Amino acid sequence: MATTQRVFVHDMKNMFGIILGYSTLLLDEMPADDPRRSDVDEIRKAGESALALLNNWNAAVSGEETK
Amino acid sequence: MTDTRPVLLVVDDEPGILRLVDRFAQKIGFDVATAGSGQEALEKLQAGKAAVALVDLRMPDVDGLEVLKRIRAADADCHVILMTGHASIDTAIEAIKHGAMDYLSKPFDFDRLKELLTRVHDEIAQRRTLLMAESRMVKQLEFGGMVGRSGAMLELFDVIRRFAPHVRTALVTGETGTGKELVARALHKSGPRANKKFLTINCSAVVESLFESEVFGHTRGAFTGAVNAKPGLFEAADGGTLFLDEIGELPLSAQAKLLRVIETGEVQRVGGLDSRHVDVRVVAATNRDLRAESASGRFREDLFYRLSVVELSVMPLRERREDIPYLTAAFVRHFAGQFGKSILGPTPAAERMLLTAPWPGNVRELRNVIERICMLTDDRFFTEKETLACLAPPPTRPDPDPTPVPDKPTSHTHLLATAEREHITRVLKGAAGNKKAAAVLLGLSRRALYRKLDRLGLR
Repeated sequence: MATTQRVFVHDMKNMFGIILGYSTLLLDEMPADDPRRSDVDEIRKAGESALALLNNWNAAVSGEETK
Repeated sequence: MTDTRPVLLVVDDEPGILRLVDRFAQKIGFDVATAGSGQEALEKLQAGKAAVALVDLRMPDVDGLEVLKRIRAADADCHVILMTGHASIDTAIEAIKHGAMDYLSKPFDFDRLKELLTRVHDEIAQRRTLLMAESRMVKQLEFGGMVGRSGAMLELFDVIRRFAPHVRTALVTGETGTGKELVARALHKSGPRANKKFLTINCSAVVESLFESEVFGHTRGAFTGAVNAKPGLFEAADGGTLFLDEIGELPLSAQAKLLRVIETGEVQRVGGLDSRHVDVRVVAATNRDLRAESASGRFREDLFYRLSVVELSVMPLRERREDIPYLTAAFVRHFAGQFGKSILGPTPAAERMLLTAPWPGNVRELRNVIERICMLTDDRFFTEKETLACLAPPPTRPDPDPTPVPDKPTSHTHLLATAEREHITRVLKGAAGNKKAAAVLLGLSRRALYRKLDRLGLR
């Protein structure tokens, strides 16, 4: 059970890494006045919230503090 | 070519991460190589080198820690950053212990990654500046083809400058490969005879019976085959300098004749009666202890004293290690130019290896090693691995620790003894312990083999 959980968390974090990474890259490369900035920012914020959820869930299930 | 970008190797089994890091690192000035597994990473490292590797800890075949260990063992100059989606204190400690530069948790903080990569980038730029400065310094440190900034070498250059105008005979002593001929040439070039001839003869390379005719010349018909009269080196070098290399190998009979020429300036050709006057400066060189040789009667004492009026001794390389970086820079510049490559110099780990090698063959050996390295490498910096491959005989395996500064270089004789012991043990094993058979295989008599076994403590 613990292993399945670890693998799941690891793979999820990889996915979040991609979502957050690309949105950060896009924000970096977009001109400051690009109207699509706020859209990308929404993706990034949602990604961060989802990542926080995942971390909380993981901590609750394994009953210990994880980073 | 002047601005090749350092390479970042990214290792992760998630292709999305590879593409992401690729784009990110390109932006801050890295070329990126990617590997989808630990195995692939190790293969890629075999093929080319990376300045830094970003490695996922959890991978199916070879895990990140293993990749870290192997990278550090193969190339101590490659920084390794581990990343993981599941950080734990234990693995973090383990990673740092094995020389990881840092440990990032996923999804990683791009600012942190950027900071790390910028650090690597700056380090390389600093190294480049340092090596270029050393290469420029070489010109100021050069004297007559020799390079040195150690006290011993600066003093030698100074002595050469002061003696060069006056000296008539000189003896240059020093181990093989220290550059005795360069000292002789510098004496010639810094003196009033600079634009006269400088002739060289290696006393050990000429057959005893031919030496006299080579050096003093011979008349027509002096011996069988002497079809024409021929002037010797003394006459040819008249007004200039004659360099007698390996004077310690000169047979006693020739020594007497040489002494006479030096003292009187009169040369008599072999088979001739009349003598000719010559004005030749004689510089002799040897790697033997002529004082001891003359005390024991193997070298004429009077010749020794005549030659050693001015004695210049050249320090072995291991006693002037501070010159190694500049000599390295000079040779790298020379061979990189010759091979048309843009090699700047060693990485820090490779430099440490050069600094601590035993150098029994002195500067000549260093020169040969750098030549081999320059043939091998195509990069701007050459690594520990390439240096190790070119140093002969190979020293003991380098410590994968990031600062492997051995306090004592492995001695040459010790290495030889080890090699001998291993070889004999192998042959004995092959001969099923039969010493007679082993002796035949080794080309030794049985008694010689027993003596060796005793000496190596194998009996």
